[in-house]
Amino acid sequence: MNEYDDKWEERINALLDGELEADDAELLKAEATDDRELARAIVDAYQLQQAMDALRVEQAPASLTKKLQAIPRQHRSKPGFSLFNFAQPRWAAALAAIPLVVIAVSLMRPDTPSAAEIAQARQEMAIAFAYLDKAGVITGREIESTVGRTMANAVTDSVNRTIQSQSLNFKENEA
Amino acid sequence: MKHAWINKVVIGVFCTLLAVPAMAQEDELKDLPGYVNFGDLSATYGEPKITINLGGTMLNFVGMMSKSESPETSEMISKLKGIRVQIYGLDENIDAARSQFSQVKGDLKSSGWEPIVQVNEDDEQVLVYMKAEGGNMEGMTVMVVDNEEAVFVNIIGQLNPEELGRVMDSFDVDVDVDLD
Amino acid sequence: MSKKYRQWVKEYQDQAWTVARYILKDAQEAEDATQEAFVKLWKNQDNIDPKRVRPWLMKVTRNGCLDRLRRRRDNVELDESHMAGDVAGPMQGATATEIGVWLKRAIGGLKEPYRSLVVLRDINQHSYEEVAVMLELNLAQVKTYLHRARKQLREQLAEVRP
Repeated sequence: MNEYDDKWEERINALLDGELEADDAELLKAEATDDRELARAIVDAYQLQQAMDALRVEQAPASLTKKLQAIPRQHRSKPGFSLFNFAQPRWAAALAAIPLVVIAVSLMRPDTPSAAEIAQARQEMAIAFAYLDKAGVITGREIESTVGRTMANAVTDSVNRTIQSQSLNFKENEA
Repeated sequence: MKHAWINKVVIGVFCTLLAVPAMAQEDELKDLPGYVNFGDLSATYGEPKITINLGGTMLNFVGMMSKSESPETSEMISKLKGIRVQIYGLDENIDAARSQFSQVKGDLKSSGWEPIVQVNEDDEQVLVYMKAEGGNMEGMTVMVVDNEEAVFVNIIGQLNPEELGRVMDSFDVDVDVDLD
Repeated sequence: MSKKYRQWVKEYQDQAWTVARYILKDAQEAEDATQEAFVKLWKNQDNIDPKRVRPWLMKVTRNGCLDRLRRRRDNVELDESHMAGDVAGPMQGATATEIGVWLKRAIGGLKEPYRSLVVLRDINQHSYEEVAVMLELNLAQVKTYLHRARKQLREQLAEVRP
């Protein structure tokens, strides 16, 4: 590989990438009409690019996906979830923003939830949603392993649309 | 003058809290059309490892608290009337859980619930059912039984799965559920 | 499970798998290498700039694969039949599928870093800048090496073509 080759390559690749200035592209094409080797190189490069475009990122096998999803559980470097862990940064900030009067009022009205109870409710809601998510992942994985990822996305979209159509009806009926 | 706005806030919060009705109990949820009776597996597996019963009042509070932080979360929560979760840790005997699973499935079918997704594997069963009446979504039920646990989730009210995905991020809570 | 980790799995598993597959040419080993890379991602997630997760992961996947290659004692590449069937001889009348199979094999036969460059840039479609980060090369080196890799492939293509 000499310097001359590298320069050719640079220009041919730039031509294919659409990065060659119009004047330079014309110049290269003009050179190619007088240089059979260069012309051949350009044609070959186009053919290679076409073949390369047909190659796709390979889909990871379902067995690998399952292993990757299991990593957080097998390599817990972070503390596990605790029902009584309210120290999540954003939520902690929200808690701090609650005026002290909430506590006073809570004492006056025992049926009013305290800030801690609301925080716990929020955590519980997150758990419920996480389990919904779990079901979604399992069903998605199952559909994917049965009909492939593209079809699985279509199925998921279809399910979402079914449920969303109920949401739309809900909104229309409310209006 | 300096304390005037603080007084307004205090009075405002005070009035809001006084206006809130009593906290909903599970009994209150039982009358809602999206409610599902999951039965009781405690005789076989002991008390559930997680039991959650959130009624409309508590959800209102959570929604209220989330409003400034994430209006989208607040909006989603406002459409919910109740959230119930029961999770049992299973020992080697999973037959009782599977039997309960089938029982609830039968009950759902006979009371107008529609199956959305179902997975029937040897080591994993998942069911997602939805109930709608007159075009209104009344509830969603998700049941998962694998070799380790039986999960029963009942969302009463309206829930959009795509909305849920977005809102989960705003919760910023790392809930670790077993996916194997 | 961390939601952001799950999102990374969804978005990047195929690309990492493709890199491992081309470098190692063995499905089981590629699966192990990809898994190892994601374990590292999980353990280091708090130390990685969220915007640079993808190049970080590809770099770790590739380095893991190269380590594995070095550990292969006999230094003989494994059977490549899983990557491509035997497509020998002229390609006259060859279908696009056959050319694709031949090309996969040819890419698998390139030396490093050419093979990784072609996989990362031409198959995974990463930007030149990202590839430079992944391979710890400068932009000019990436372009020059990639041009050489493509030239090699082109010459091989010319040889099998009538």
